[in-house]
Amino acid sequence: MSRSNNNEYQPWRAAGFLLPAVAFFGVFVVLPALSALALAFFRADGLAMREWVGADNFRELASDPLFWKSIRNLLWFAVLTVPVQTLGPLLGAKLLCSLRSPRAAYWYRTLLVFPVLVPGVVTILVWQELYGATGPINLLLDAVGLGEHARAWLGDPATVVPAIVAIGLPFTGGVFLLIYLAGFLSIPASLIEAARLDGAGPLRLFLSVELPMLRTQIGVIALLSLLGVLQNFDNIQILTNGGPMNASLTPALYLFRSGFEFGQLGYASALGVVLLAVCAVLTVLVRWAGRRQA
Amino acid sequence: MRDRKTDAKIGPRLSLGFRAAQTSNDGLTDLPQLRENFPYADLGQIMTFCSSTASKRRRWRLGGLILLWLAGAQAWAAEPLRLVSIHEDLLPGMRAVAREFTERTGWEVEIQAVPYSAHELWIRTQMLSRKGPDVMLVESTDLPWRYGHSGLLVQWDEPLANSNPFDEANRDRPWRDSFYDELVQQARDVAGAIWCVPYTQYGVGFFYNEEVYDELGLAPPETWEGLIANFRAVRASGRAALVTAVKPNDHQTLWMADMLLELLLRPAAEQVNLLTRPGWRFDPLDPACARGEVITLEERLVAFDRGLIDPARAPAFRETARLMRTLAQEFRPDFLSLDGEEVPRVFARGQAVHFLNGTWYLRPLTAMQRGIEAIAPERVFPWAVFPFPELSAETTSLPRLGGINQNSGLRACFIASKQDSSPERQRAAIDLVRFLTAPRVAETSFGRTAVHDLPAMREVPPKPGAEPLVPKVRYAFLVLAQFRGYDARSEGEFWTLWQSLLGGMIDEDQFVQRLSASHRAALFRLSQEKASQMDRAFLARHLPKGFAP
Repeated sequence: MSRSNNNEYQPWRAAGFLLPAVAFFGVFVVLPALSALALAFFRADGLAMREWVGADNFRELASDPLFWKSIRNLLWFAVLTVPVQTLGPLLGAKLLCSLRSPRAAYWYRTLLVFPVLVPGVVTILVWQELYGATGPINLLLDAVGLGEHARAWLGDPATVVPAIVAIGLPFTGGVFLLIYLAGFLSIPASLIEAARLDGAGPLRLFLSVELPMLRTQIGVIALLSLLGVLQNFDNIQILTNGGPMNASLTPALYLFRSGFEFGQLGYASALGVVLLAVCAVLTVLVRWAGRRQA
Repeated sequence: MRDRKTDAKIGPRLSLGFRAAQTSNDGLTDLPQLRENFPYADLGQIMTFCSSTASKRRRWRLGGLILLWLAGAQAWAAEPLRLVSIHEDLLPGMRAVAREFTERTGWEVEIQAVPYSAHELWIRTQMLSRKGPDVMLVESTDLPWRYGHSGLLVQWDEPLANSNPFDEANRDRPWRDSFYDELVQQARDVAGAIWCVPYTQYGVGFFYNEEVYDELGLAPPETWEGLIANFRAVRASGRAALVTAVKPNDHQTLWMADMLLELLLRPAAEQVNLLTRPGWRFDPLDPACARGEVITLEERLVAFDRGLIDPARAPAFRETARLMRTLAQEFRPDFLSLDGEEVPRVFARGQAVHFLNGTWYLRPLTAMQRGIEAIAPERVFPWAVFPFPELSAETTSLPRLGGINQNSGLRACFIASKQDSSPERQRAAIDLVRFLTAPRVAETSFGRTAVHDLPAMREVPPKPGAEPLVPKVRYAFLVLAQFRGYDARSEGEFWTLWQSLLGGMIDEDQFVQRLSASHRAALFRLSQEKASQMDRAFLARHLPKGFAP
């Protein structure tokens, strides 16, 4: 075969190579998504019953107090989670960049990224022990004379959401830290030098030069963090299963319980469609806001 | 009887030779007869059938098709019966008796375990793909009800009403009479249908730390007041009195409430059980009077409408809530965050003096303490069990008929997948359950396990270690109302309300009002779903205005 033949565009060959991937994508991603969309218009238990109900599932959702409670919980989660997950790694990355010794920077970077290797479930279970009635947090409070503040952190509706959000404290490590680090390293050294020559101190440098230059990273991390909150499921299910008294129930968990505990697959699908729409709208909004700022 | 699904499958394929086959009368030569023998028709029978058709070409085409069909069917039919259990501990005993079943029926049995933690999802996927095992040993009644209502399980009412052919000593006795009556009652769904066959029951009691009891000079209580007094004495000594969890995956508090509610609702039994034989009387001291009695959905709708089982109007619900709320003050404070699995560990570590649980913890608790002994022998303590105490006139002003029904919990039960396409296999699956629950077989089977759960069959004795949890007194048992709700949704709502009540967020009045709304909605949903199966004449007579959501 000649070189010119190799370079020639061969649509059928390309299609042939793409076909397996597209087929897998279609069967395992698109088809389930479409069937879930269709299921939202049925009353179905996933076993035998399947009855067309039109938009009834969506109407029921609109008047379901548990759904609205889960939305309120979600907003509470978002208000607490997004700032700490956005700002914590930013501060961590700033501290790393400020280290003068490259060797120290290397070790601290490794140390801060290392927790990513620990499976999430292990972290959750460790924190569950920390929050126990006789766990280290309560023992510490007792030891410092604040024993009256000791409580079942995950068993109290007032503290359960902050307690779940606090998992991962001090939020400085992980993948988000790497994104910020990349952002810091991409700031031209000449810009920093110019600012310093103009008399900018460390705080001014950070607020007026580095922070504006990291706007894209901050936007991406805020969006990822928000989407993470929307899909938050595993840690809540392991720690509280939405309790106590639904104080930590989120729409994603409610979707799971509706579908697999209550046997209402149609209703769960409607909830999934609403969640998808909310995710899509939020993504567009955040991107739009980012563009406007730019 | 013809099988409609089989008809549908082979009908179009065999249309070429169907008429000719029906006209023949040479041995097994007509299609219905062949079908009747499916999947046992042998090659000779098939060839006879084929040779009876008119045209040679048609004959071979038809024969080929049937051979293909039967080859597949026979290969499938030759597969052993599949028995799956979520209680692995019970399997050695079942394996020991499976050989006898094979010898008696010719059916091989393949026995396997499914991890308890994953069983619900596993069963769901099997059912969704219509590949459910022939027989499954599962826990509690929710799962059988769910799949039974979806038409995927064998309904046991009829087999249970007939004798068990494997119970040679009791050939004239209905099979259901070999079980404890209350377990058969618990196996009934909201409409009175039975989707599972009892196999084991849990014996529930308060496990307690004997060392602390000796130190504080306490004795196992016999009354509710005694129990509360003991708990308060323990709490005053700076210890946690009772460790428990209040989550959908841990029913300890619900068991207590169920026992209380069953006792307190008993006076309404005759008013609720309207669809019964003439002259039936409820005698609380005669357990046999509840035998064969069914509380149907229609009766529940009427009883709810009349306020007999409506939590907002029936005082028994409010009283149960009040008593449990009093008890909740003695719980270890983290009961809303603890997981069920942690409860016995907390007790074994000596961090609480009591926990309420069942026979299945006799062995793990001993094992846990052995583990602790290896590290810190001084932390191991002697423990014992006392039954749930009786209510006295001091405890409640509500009328009581008889006493607390101890050990009334159905635990492991058999379900069988419905197999319309293979009646023979279906019969064999039912036979397997009959065989495993026949007293002689079950005794052998239980004898080879280390399980301390009590057998559900009357004639099978419990293990010696489980004796403290065996009921001493039994009263007539009818499940008039379900405290936790009537479907999955209302059960979910129940747990929120239950946590709110025991956590002190709402009082008894708020609890019963909200529980009433949840129960009413659930009963309404069920009445809509089962409208076609309900006794309309009964409802028209007793519920002329219908049941409002």
